[in-house]
Amino acid sequence: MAVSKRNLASYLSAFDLDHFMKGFEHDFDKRLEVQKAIYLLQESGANLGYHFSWYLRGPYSPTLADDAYSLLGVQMTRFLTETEPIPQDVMQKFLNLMRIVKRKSATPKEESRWLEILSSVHFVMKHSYPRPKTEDEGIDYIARLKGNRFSKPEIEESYEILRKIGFLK
Amino acid sequence: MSASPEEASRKIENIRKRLNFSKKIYDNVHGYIDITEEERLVIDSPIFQRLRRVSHLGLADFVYPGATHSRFSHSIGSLHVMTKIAISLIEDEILEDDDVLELRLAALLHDVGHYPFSHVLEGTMTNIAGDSAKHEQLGVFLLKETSLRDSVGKICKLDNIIAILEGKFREPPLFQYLTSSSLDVDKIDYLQRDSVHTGVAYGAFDVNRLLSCLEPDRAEEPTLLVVTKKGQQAIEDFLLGRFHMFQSVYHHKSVVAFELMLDRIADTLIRNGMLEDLSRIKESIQKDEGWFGDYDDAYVWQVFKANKLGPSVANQLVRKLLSRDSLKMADERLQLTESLPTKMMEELAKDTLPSWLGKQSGVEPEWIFYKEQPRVTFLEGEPDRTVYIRTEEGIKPIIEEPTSIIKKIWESRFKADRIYTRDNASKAKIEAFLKK
Repeated sequence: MAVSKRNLASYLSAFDLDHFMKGFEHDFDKRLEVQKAIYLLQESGANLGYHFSWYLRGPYSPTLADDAYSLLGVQMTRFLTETEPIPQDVMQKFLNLMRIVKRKSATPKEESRWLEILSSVHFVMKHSYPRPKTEDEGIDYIARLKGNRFSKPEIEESYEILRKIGFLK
Repeated sequence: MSASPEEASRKIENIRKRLNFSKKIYDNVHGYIDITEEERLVIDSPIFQRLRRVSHLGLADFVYPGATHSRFSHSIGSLHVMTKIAISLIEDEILEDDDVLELRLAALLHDVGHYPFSHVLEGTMTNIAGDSAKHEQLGVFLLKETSLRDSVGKICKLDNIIAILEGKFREPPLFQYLTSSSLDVDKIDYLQRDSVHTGVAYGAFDVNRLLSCLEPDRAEEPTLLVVTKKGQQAIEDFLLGRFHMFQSVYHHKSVVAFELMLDRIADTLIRNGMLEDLSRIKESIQKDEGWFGDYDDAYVWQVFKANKLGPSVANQLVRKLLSRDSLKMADERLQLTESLPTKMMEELAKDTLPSWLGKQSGVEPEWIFYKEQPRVTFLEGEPDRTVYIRTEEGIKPIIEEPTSIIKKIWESRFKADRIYTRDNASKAKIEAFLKK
């Protein structure tokens, strides 16, 4: 089995993220959550090896989509013993972020929204080309692109959250 | 607001002047394709010429003898399709002249990092090294580390092409749609090309109708590329054709058998240091980029033939492959389902299947191969990658259009799980056990 799939299964079970996969097959929001959560997990330092591209709804990896489909219905805890242990700092960083997402979301739909905006802000600031020269330029760009779904204060808040817990400098 | 007809023709005339075509290449799928002098320099470079010797469909020619076309003709064809779409977007004032230069080059170079035998060896490499071994990533490496950097730099900003190929280009998101979506230029070219060369007619579709029915929608930021209502049958035909090409060519049981053999041989040779892994490929390019010009299908055949693996399974697979003696399929489960396809094997069980089945059936475990094809869908449902259609009620994803056949079937997935073995005697043993 591909190295990425094995690591993905291991991380999903270690972080108790299996619930993301429930309903994944027929629910776009669930698939979006998996994409964005795994992007942020990788950016926490997890060794997953996915390449994310920039799409309208934020970072997306076709390989991750394929891997997630093939892991549906699989007992993922079994992979925990087969992959290298997850470093403590990675675990802490990602859990800090997820705690904030949960705190800010009253419903699962809102959780999806926060994952989308956080991962999008991160991607634009850290990986997009041309890279925004200033924080304001990046925020304005995201506000233009996603203005119909996210307010500028929400985008600014996302930037602050990412900066505070060490995802952005 | 779209340009007036006069303004549109003036813009197209301008872009033709700007491009200043100097050569024509005759392509058996699209006819004459114009290229500029600067593009000719890129095309004539040893790294690009190498694509002439990289088969487009891996080992599909073992089953469809006409399928000997290369990544070279597909790359030139993709440039042509991209130009047709881009010029219509200039007409609508969505793109600027410089965008066309960049998009043409991105289409031309999108496969420059393909490994020999295309997706077959790429599968072996990514299985070992993950996404970093994808051909797009190797293409970006070539653009950064070889003389392609200079020839591309003469046409446009190198970093823009790298960002488009990496999927990191920020504006406009339309670029990403044209280079990687359910309706990207790669698919529009390869479906027609593979259909012509295999002789399998399912991939044929009305490309002119489809392209003439694509238009931008600027009602909302960012701009979307949509198919007009008149183009509904053309896009349906395209999506259905792609699906049938997977069933009849790309996942054909014998094509899969030969490609499985190639994968196993390559995997063994890479793990034994006899064939370059990703890091050795990159090191070799950095030492001498000329080396990569020779890294083609023939190079890999040569390594296969010269291997020093002794009487191993991999070596026997080489001999079988050279005499077109394929593995035999002992079991096959085909499914077309809207729900989660039944798993023939749990992920972990796949690794232990050979030893278990070997014990039960009396076939040597190293001669039992399990192959699960990736799911095949009609199109991707994700908003960024799906197909949009303009109807009287407005623009919507085609999967929400009640008059479209795609709405009824898009969630169906085709899945093929197969077990292959060495020869007819082993096949009979496995079949006898499975019947029990």
